[in-house]
Amino acid sequence: MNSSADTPGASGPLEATLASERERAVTVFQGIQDEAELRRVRATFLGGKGSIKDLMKQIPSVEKERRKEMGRSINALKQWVEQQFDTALAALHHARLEQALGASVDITWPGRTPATGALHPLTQVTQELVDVFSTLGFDVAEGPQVDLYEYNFDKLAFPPDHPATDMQDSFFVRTDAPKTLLRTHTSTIQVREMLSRKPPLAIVSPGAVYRRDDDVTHSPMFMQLEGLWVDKKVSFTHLRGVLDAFAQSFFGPEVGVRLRPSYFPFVEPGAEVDIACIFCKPWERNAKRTAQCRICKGSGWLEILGCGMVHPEVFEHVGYDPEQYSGFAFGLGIDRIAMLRYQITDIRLLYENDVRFLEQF
Amino acid sequence: MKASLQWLRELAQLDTDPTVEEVSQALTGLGLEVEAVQAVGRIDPKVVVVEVQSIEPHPSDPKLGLVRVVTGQDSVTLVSRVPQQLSVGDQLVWAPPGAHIQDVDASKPQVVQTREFSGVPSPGMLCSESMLGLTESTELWRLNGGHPGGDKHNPNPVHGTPIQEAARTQDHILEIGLTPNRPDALGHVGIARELCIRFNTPFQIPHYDSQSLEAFAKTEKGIPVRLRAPDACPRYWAATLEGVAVGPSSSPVRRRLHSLGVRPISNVVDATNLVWLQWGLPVHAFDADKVQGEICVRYATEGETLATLDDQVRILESQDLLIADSHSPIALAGVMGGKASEVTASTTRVILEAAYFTPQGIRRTSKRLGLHTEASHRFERGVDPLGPHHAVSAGLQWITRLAGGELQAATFAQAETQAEPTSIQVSIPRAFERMGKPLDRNTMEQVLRALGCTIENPIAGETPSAGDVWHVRPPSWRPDLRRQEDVVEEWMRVVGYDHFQGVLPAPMPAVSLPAHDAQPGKLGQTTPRTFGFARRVRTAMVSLGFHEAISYAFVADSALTRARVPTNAVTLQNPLSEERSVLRTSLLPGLLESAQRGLRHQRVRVDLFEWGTVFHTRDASADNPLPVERVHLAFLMVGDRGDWFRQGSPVDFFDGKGVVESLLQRTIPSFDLRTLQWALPTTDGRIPWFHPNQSARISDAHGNTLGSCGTIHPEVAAEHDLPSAIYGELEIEGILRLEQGCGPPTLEPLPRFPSTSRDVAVLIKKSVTLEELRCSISQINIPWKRTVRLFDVYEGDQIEQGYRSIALRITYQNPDQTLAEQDVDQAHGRLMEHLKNALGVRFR
Repeated sequence: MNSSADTPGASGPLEATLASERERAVTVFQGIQDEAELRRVRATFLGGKGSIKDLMKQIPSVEKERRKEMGRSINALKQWVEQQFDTALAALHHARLEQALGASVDITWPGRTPATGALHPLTQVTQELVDVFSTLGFDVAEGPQVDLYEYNFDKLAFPPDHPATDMQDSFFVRTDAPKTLLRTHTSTIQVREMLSRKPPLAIVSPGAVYRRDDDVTHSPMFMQLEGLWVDKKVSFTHLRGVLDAFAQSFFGPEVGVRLRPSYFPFVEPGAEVDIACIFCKPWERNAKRTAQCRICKGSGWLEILGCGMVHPEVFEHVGYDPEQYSGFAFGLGIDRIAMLRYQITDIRLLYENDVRFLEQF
Repeated sequence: MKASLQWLRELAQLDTDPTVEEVSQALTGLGLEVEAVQAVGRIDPKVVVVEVQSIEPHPSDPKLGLVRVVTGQDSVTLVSRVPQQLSVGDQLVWAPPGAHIQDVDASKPQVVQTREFSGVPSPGMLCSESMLGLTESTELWRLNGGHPGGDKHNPNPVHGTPIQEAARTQDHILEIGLTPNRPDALGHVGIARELCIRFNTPFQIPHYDSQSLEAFAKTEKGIPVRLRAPDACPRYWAATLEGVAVGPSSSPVRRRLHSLGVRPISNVVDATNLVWLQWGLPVHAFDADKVQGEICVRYATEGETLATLDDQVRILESQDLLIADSHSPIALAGVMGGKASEVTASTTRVILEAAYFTPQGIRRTSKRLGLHTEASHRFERGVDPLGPHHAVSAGLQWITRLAGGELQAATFAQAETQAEPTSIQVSIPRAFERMGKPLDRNTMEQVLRALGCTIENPIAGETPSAGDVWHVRPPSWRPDLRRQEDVVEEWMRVVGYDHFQGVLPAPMPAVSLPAHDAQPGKLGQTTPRTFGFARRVRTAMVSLGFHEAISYAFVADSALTRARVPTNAVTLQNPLSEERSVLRTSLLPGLLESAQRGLRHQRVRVDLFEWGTVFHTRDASADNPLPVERVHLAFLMVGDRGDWFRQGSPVDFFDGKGVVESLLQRTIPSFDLRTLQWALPTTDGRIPWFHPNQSARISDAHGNTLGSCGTIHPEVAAEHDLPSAIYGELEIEGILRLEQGCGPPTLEPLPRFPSTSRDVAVLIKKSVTLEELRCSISQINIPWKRTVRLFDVYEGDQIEQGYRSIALRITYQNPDQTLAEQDVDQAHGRLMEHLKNALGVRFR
């Protein structure tokens, strides 16, 4: 290193050393690939025998009035060197990390999928329906699939030997017991619940039902959900209120319902219920879209369920007093709702368990 | 029910002129759902009425003629077949070149062109009704003459007028989906009545002059009628006409019938069809010359036969109601006429029958014979008991109008006692309570009157609408109005259901209610509530990678045999096919079939589960009259483990066991899996559908059966084209019992100190199970918790015969402190010594 100069002055040898060391710090750390080497070079400035220590030692030889300034300059150099070192060290770490991270993978390779399953679309719809009706205060009830003719028809006020029973063509079961069949609706549960419980009660009963039909839109086995609400002073407006709430929470807040008079032996008055078409969305008033809608065939409405006020004869059959109690009942096809929602056109797909079908839901 | 809008308009005579859409909406809103509307009789306006000017023979073809016609301004010569009676001045229908016409059998319209017939060009053609799609008649359509009756509405259309206007061909056919409670709407009159209610027009019932009919009925001239079954036929009219000329009906009648889907046959038969189309009341015409002596309405004798109009010989039973003459049956009452007394081309005398037959008998006969006719359809739903009077009058009018003839005699017979419609007591406050809001009493009264009801006031001098109890007598044509609620529905449907806005009912008490004590016993029982548990089980199965299957509950008998599951199945009396004729006794056949389908679609792996009911024949000693139903959960795994990056290997027993354990752990977290009993079936107790050496019965700590699990028997798998398959089936009742015994899990504190493990490889006799080894390890007295994990098994050349090598990791854990290595070594050494002594293991 430069030996100290006695010569005082504005730009003595001390200043020259300061300047050259400052310059050396800019280049000397570059290109070093090793942390130890970096530290060794740093020591040539800041170490016990480094140039800065050297410079410090020379301060007393500077004239008094310049010592302070000189001290500041040396400190500035010290900071400068530290800064250069830190930058170089960070760059070295960064380069090392980059190397360790390696080349990028081909992200277009297939993912390793953990085995995942899925609920059947009918189950998904059933669970959602049950959730909606639970919120509205209904309890879930279940019952046997093979049941007495009496429970399926007679107790529900189907007139004996009447064309109304043709609406539900039944599968009969060979048995030595009274006339027995695969239930044609889950309304059998209505009967069983009322026979075993006191009013008031509110139940929904989901489950498989069976009718002798087999084509693209009719399956000999299908899923139904039936609801029953019995209490004092239950009215048609209550039925409507529950249906409105159901349609809005299940299909969407804009979806309105329409009730049309219809006939089911176990209710009076009876109604068919349509919801506003969830595909062409008539509430958005796009008349052209509705006119062209394949699903509702331009009507703006989709038939979704049947309902009505419980027929007093049904109450009489289960030992409820029809003067004291009234109620409403409704039944909907779960398959129909699943088919609408997922745009399934062939009902048989629902019961074939083709994995290519099941994994889409 | 098909209805003609034109006809409905004629009958209803509405003050306003609603469009077809408005009519459809009105009917649907009243409960007569219009399911479809079809526009009929649209004909290209280029097709016009023409008048014959001259008829000449064709120069070379004797079958054809040259017909010169005036077409309005012009005249043209057309080549055509020439019917005998065609004469100058007749009005025909001409389709000029360029006109679009659609034949009744064609799927799309064709364009008429100028064509040459044996050297003579014909500019367009003279049309038949069938060429224009109106009826099936292929004769030249003559607007005047040819047919008795003619077109009354437009007797002399001007030539050049489009035929569509001249013959009023356009109409809309409404397809109405009628519910079985509305027999009154099975004819145009009933539907028109409903339209009048909706459009506020008083309905005028078509009126007939029935004076002569009643006068004849009072004389003794008519054919004697005996009602031998007054319960099944309380009213019967028989009217005799003479001088009838049987032939085709007029064009408008044939067109109307055709558009309503009824085939025109002859004027007399068409007339009877018009009666049910108009009134919903079936009538029948006999050839009077083929009816011998008297008419008797009676039940058949067992085995009696009748040849019906459809050329079938019917063998009858004692519950079938017959119309017979003095010698033999002549008709199956209310269902179909007899062949022998059919009206034919040579008939000149006709007996017209109009009667009321009670519904149940007609339905029984029609169902038993599989013979569903327009007549039986109406009678079994209940026609108006007072209707025969209208029907016979309407029938006489139609026959004389279409076929000529004159009424000669009439007989009316009725049972001595007649069922009178009783009046219905309606409590107005109760009605308002059911509806949810009150209605205007004047409106209510008007609605009832418009429907044909009368309101009888029991308190003299009070207007009916003032009282709180109304006595409503429904009209004879509404057999469905029987109770207060029926009347409430009438008010509501006429006012419109949309009039009643929704209100949520008051909430239900949250707690389940005590058993109803009025009708205790077996019939009221309900099944346990499994819905919530089902949700947990299903979610767990999905998280284990399974897709949910839902299969038909009915299967083929052979499917049970093929899967080797129990065959004591519940059988259907009337299955749709052999393939679906018995109820499943196990979920296996359905899952096997689904997996088979999956593999056919080149799947390497199929994992399915199903939550479903299985059925077994009734236990004869049980109280329950029904078959036994059990809810099961089953799963089937087929194919290889592994995916695109790992080499696969077939699934085996232990995959199944793992599923059962994980499932139970996920659904009942507090259940101790170690209490689960897995038992290899004994030689006598093999499960037929399982591999005898790779399957197990599963039961709980008390020995209650929970299910079974294992590899599907290789022969069963092969039968279904499956490689090895793993199956498990659990009984939900058992699992639910486990769950009820378990309660929620209680937290076990997390260990605060590290555990220490030792690996050990032991040589052990194959006859010693891992469970025995595990038991032995837990027996030895070491104050710490230990867990044993199997991590390798080796059998083969390196190992002595009858032995296998098992590698275990034994982990020691002291909850209170970190274990010292030397303490572990000492304890582990004692454990090894114990195993050597107790089980004779050797260490490698």
